Amino acid sequence: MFVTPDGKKVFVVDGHTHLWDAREANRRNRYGLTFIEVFWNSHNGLTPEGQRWPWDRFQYYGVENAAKDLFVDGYVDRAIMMPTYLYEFYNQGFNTVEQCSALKAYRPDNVILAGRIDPREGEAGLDRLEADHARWGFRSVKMYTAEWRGESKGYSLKEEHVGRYLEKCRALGIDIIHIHKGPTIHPLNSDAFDVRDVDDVATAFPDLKFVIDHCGIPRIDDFCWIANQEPNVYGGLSVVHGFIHMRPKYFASMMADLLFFVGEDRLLFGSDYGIHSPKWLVEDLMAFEFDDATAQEAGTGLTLDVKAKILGLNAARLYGIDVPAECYRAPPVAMRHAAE
Amino acid sequence: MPPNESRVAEARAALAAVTDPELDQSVVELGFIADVGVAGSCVAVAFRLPTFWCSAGFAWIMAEDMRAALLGLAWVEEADVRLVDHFAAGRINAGVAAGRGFRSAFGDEAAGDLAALRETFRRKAFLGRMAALIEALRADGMSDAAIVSLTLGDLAKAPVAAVFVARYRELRVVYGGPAGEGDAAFRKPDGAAIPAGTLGAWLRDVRMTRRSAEANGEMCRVLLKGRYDGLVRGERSPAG
Repeated sequence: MFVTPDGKKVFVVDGHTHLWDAREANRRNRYGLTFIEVFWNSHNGLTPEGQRWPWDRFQYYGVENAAKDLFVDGYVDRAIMMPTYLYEFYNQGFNTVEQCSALKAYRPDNVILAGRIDPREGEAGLDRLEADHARWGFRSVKMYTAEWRGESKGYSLKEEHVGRYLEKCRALGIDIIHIHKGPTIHPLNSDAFDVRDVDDVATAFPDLKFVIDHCGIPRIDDFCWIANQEPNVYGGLSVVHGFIHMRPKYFASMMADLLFFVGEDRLLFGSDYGIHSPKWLVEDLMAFEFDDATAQEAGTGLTLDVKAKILGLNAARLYGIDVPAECYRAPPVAMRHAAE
Repeated sequence: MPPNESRVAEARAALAAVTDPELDQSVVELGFIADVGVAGSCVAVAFRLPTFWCSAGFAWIMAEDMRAALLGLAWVEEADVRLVDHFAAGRINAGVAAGRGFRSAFGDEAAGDLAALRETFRRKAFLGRMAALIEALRADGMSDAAIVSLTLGDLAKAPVAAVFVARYRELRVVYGGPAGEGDAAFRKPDGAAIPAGTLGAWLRDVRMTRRSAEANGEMCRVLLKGRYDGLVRGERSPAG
């Protein structure tokens, strides 16, 4: 947890973390290198000076470094791990549930594992979800739409098997679906980042909660519209948050739009660790203030309530995590209005 | 200036008018142009993108638009536009050079051509350019009532940079209905009027479109810089 100068304790849930292996020995082909290079360029371009990692550490940081960066230095009380398989690029996978489970074994009380589904895997994928769930017990799963699979270069939520997978999740009691839009989706002539298909599944499955990673960046404008209309859609702030130190103007304007259209109760902190580390992200956010014009645009300042919700209270409510009694609390806006 | 140098400068100026359709910013300002060479009436351009994985569709559109802009110069007989360091570079370069359609270059990986993609982002560019222009007028102290009653002809006298007006008018011909000098300057894309009383709320909505593109552009700059400005990396990629 983060403790403010006047002693308030802010509970921190990092909603987007990884434990990846992009070392040369694990790379299947040049795609494995070009993939990690994009992360590396983002890490270097947006991380404050003095906190950037060496390239070797960036390719593989391992369980002990992750535990220190997240739970010792990074103020994180719970880390939710988002798997990204990428077997077409990495021999043993890039960041599988199996790999992530090593951190869970090391810090069982602090780590929450998300499962992974890919609707192109048909019956076998449904069976594997069931087996994975029996082994690890998921509250959430991740869908990474840009993943290559044989001839397929990605998928959309409009594809036919998506519904069956979501029904399976529902039957297993998995009610939180993280969706990450990435590039190179099939077909190549369409906008790979288009988030409008989220609207369809959010409407079709009103009892499930959909967390859109990176708030749909680079389609944050379309994401704001959808989340504004669909109460079961949430914004995962990784990438948005990454702008805070090196590009604060853009961070402020994106946050203003997100707070105005999505609202302070449906935004979730995520570091995207190891792209960025929670230590500086949390410190920067706690110190960040909107100017008057931005606060007006957002419909709210970046108050302690807003920060505490984003950093942990919203994710705690979504995931059913108990917040220690000593921590700062802020009720959702609807409840606050009802109480007035 | 030797004739070759002046031709390189002309080619660069032509490229500067080409935008990344997703960001609505010049490909030159974004740093996408890696090299421009001229030999007689032939121009060779190499361009690069922020990641190996950038959208093939947008890359194709930029390559096509660059080629058309270069061929629009009176002295250019041949324009060789070459994308480098990209997962689809080979197919894009060959397809654009042959004047083929995206569909025929990518076969089953593309379900059609790029018309819908172009349209989606041209409409966003229109909204973004309009929001920028209206904000500039408001910042100059013009009332909402005065802004919504401006005609396209009035914009020439408006207290905003001519380049903003020109860029807006370029797309106002496509969206917002009749676009003569006496027609309303500001219309919604479908041609609907914007009453003065709702301008603020409407602007609050469309401003987001512009800001989204600006933030994306910034991310592209960050990634491009990391990719090409020689930050220490343990090894070079085969592509780089």
